[in-house]
Amino acid sequence: MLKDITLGQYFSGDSALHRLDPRTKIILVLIYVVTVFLAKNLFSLTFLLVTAIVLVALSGISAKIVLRSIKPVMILIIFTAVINIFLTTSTDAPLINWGVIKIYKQGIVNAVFMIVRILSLIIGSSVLLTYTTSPITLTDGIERLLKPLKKLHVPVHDFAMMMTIALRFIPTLLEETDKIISAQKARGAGFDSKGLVNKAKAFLPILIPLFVSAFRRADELAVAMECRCYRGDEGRTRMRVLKYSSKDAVAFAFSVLFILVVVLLNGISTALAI
Amino acid sequence: MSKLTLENVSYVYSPDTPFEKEALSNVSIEFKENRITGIIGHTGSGKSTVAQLLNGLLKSTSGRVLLDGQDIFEKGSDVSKVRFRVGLVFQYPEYQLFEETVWRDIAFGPSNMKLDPNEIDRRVRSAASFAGVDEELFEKSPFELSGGQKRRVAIAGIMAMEPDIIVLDEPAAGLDPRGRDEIFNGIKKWRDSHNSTVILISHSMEDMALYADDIIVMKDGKVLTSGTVDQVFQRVDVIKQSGLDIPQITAVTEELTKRGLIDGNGIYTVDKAYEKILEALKER
Ligand SMILES: Nc1ncnc2c1ncn2[C@@H]1O[C@H](COP(=O)(O)OP(=O)(O)O)[C@@H](O)[C@H]1O
Ligand SMILES: [Mg+2]
Repeated sequence: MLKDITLGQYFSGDSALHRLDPRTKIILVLIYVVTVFLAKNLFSLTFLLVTAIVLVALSGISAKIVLRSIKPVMILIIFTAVINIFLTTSTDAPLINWGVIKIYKQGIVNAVFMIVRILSLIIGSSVLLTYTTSPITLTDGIERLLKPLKKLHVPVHDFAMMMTIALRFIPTLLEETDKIISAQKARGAGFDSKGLVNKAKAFLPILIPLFVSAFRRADELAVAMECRCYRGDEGRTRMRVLKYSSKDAVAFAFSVLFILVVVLLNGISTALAI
Repeated sequence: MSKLTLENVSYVYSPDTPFEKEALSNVSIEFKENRITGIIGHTGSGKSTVAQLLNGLLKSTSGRVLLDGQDIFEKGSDVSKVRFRVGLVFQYPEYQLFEETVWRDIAFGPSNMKLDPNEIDRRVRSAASFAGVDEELFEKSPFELSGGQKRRVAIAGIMAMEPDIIVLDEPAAGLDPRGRDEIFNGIKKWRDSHNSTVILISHSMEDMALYADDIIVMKDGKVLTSGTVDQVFQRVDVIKQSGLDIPQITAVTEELTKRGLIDGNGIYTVDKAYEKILEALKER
């Protein structure tokens, strides 16, 4: 069903990661992403993977679900690995030499590094952010972080509101699409016609009702918001006020530690080489 | 004339995910031919899921749906044929209208059946008259119509396929009493003239008392009780247990019976109540 491919797969829960302030999590993810690209040897990359696994454990989300999230990007990972294996050249003697195709040790190392990077990137950021932060909280966090831009007359609040509404309605519209598809199928609509024009025509019975209902919902929402005196950011208070707590301080401390360890581990190989 | 049967059917939404939900568990129902069978239950009891299983829009997780004794998902059989034989009117069907004119929208189903134009026109006109759509509206855009009119156009769209069995999921939801009566009477007329089986989904016991022949009471994905209207109304406690309201007249006669004033269990029409009360008065 369409409904099953929700964007930003949030899993509600009450783990340590769930309870962090969204702003903390956004900053931590940025730090994490940068660090992933800083790591450049076996030790630091292994450490990254371990960190990702620890994060999964902290989030309380089952490993099965996390692994499933990797499936869609598996092709990308394999593709990158293959490219690295075949296209890396180095001055060493090749491990395999089949004329045109030469595989070097460096190529395999690069491929493994790349796989570890992508894996820890996806696991780390989805567990830190998308799996444990509800979309609404996330936009709240973004709005607060971007608040300084208001001084430059950037309509931060309006963007955040638009994003919140869009996120809120994605599941609703997907559900509606499912229903409309079923309803038209019940009237014998076929979606397996041949030719581009016919194919496009076959989708009209879905697209038109979907647009009509999206506009109707937008209209109703606008009226409902006006009835509650919504007039943008001005004088607006919040039901959930974001507040940093000691947990966030701990998280930041860990992230500094994390950067330090990666940098140190990066240094190890240089030290060993000397 | 066709016979539809559910045989030990279970259905699970989003299996193997955190959102897994068993909507039906081991449900067996035999729908009697040429009768109006009401499926009634509280919101979330699985009524709409049953509806979509009946014409193959959903495939049961376990168990079978039989149309004239044949599994609708049997290898080699074409499910889309089943959809023409078992017409399903969705809940709030007005949201599926899309054509430029009312006539063309009603004709969408029959056109998909690849009928010839004359036959399509005949069916559109016939269905429109049963569903209560005025021919004057034929050239209008469906989006210009009132809510009640749209609903009737959508119902006509399924009737125009002239299915052997028609399933209507809460066809009167959100309509005023008059619109509701018009739609139900149209459905009844349609059944009488086509000799077809009607399956009517509702959560109003009041509607069921007026329009159904047989009733199936559902709760939490299971069949609580079933039988003719008379039989089911003998078990008022079961209806209440399923979280449904009983018709007002049933509540009144039940209370009168409890106080020993009349002898009238399971009354669901005003006429019957009137009769019983007169009887009791005469005896005094
Ligand atoms: N598309 C769906 N995905 C997941 N769960 C669903 C879906 N549709 C219905 N359900 C669940 O299945 C149960 C039965 O729903 P439904 O058949 O629509 O009940 P009813 O029509 O009696 O109100 C409900 O608990 C509902 O939440
Ligand atoms: Mg329903």
